[in-house]
Amino acid sequence: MERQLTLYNRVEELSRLTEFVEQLCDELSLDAVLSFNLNLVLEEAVTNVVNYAYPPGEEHTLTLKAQAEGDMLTFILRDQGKPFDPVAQAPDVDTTLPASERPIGGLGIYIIKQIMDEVSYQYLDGSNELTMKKKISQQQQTETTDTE
Amino acid sequence: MKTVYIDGPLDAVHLDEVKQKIAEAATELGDIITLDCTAMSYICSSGLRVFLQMHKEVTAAGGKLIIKGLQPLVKNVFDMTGFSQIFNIEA
Repeated sequence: MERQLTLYNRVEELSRLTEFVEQLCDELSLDAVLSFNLNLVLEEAVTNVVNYAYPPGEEHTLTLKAQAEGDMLTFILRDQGKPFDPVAQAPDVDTTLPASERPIGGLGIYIIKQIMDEVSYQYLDGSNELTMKKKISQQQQTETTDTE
Repeated sequence: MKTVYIDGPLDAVHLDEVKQKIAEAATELGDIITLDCTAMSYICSSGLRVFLQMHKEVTAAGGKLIIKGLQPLVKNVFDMTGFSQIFNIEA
């Protein structure tokens, strides 16, 4: 199964992203917890691109590809903005620090890494490419097969 | 004691609206502000940052910020990021 979504680099586009993710999770019969978490991961990833990839005021697009193969669900987010590796440049978040010492940034990629099983980045042919993988359980796969 | 009701998804789209709502409530030194999140269906990292910022500001002004009624999936985001230990969370 493969689906693709193209979005403009505008924050209002996040509602289209939510619809896309919800539909995908329904098709794959994913449970409410995983659906919520995947929605969160993809919002974090797309928001990063919308806010930082392009100079303010410029209109560009980004694409999100979703692939389900066997028990692996893969998302690939591509943009043609300035090269930025969120995986390498994300600070380590110390979740035990008190409020006064918690830095304001770096949380989005931390959440992505917490929820997904594999997160990798490459800059390829002028595109930032963020790949995020999540293993979906056997039971969920069986249910998917049943509904197809 | 003031209560601010946060409803719907606290995503990047609704961020400014919520920020404004909390800022309007936190006007006096020593304010005790409860964020009633019973109807908050979702929170992203930007939403957590708004809460953290307000927590810092209200605490610095001698007050207290209380977060109440988190839904289980939302609470999970607070747990995952360690924010559950930072905030005063009530059921």
